[in-house]
Amino acid sequence: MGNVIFGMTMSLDGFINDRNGSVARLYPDLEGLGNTESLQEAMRTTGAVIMGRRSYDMGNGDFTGYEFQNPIFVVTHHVPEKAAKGENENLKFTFVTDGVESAIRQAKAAAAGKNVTVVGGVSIAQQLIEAGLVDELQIDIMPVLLGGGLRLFDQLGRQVELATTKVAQPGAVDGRIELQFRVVK
Amino acid sequence: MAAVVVDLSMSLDGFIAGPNDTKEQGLGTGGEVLHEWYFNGDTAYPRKNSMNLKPAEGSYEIVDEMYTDTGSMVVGRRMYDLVEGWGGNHPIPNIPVYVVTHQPPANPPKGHTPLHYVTDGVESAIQQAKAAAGDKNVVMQGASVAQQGIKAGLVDELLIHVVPVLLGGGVRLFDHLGTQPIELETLQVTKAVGVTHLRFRVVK
Repeated sequence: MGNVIFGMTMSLDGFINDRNGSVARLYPDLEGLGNTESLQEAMRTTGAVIMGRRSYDMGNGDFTGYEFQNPIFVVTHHVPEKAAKGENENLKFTFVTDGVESAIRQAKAAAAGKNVTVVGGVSIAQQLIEAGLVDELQIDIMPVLLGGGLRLFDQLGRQVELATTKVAQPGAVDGRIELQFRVVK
Repeated sequence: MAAVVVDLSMSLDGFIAGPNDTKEQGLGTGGEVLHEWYFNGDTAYPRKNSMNLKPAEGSYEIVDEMYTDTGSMVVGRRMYDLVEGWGGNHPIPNIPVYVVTHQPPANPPKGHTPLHYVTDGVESAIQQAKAAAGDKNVVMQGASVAQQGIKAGLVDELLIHVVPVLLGGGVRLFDHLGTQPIELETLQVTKAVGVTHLRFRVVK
């Protein structure tokens, strides 16, 4: 049975973008990032993807060549009139309007035993963690204090015990520190 | 080389204590887990200390360095009050501790630790602590003094012990840092039992 994995990059002070909404400082080398062992493994082991509407909109209507060539479940209140470009026999969008638990259910079925990877955003992560629906956290820390922006972990409704499963520095890439955790149920 | 080091254990969601920190539970609800790494090894730390420290492999060096390289400390009044001034005996023997406060306590505890109450701000406390530390480090603890020190550009290193837990609330370490990003350089990443030690240099 596959796991539900939430992955995100944050600054040491916990922000996933800066006070202007920019993620540039957190992803200075997208190409290098795509070649890291962790992302390559994530691509191999992922069977379905969940993302929020903000992440979907960040694709600017075009997911051609997106790193995850899998069914993608977009959690949203409103289904967009026109789906983004880049769909193919592997990458297909499903817009889920009845909540994150439904998205998890559908993504698990689509993943057929592989992992469900949640790529954001913050409110989806929070809902999934609070509902106990996440098995693993993959948090990359960038060595910077942004001092403001959107916090990844804010006012979580409960305490969650974790176990550190992996710590790595993919050296040459961009200074990120990779931390992986298993959620202890 | 003497450095001003912010040295604190932090949950993955950024808290150095859980909600409701009081004298009875100094680390707040669920926060004790933040300091377990000091005690989760197999053998006792051999140097004299009042804490019965038992750091596991990977954490041993961190504790040893704390005992060897710390020349003085700067702490906030809130933390000082929560631990009741360590009863005048800080776990690291014979180092002066500078407490940043608006008003010195009426009845300070008496013990072997030289306690100094600094009423003219964090910068002054750091300055005095540096003079006292000589070629050793000044270690800063407490969220508020750490934030003020970082914001004033007076902190050289961050030694953050990331503990695998989401506390959901409590005392946040990194807050009120101002509007400009502060660049860091990663000096050390060590995965130990129940904690990952991250050391950064503040790029100035």
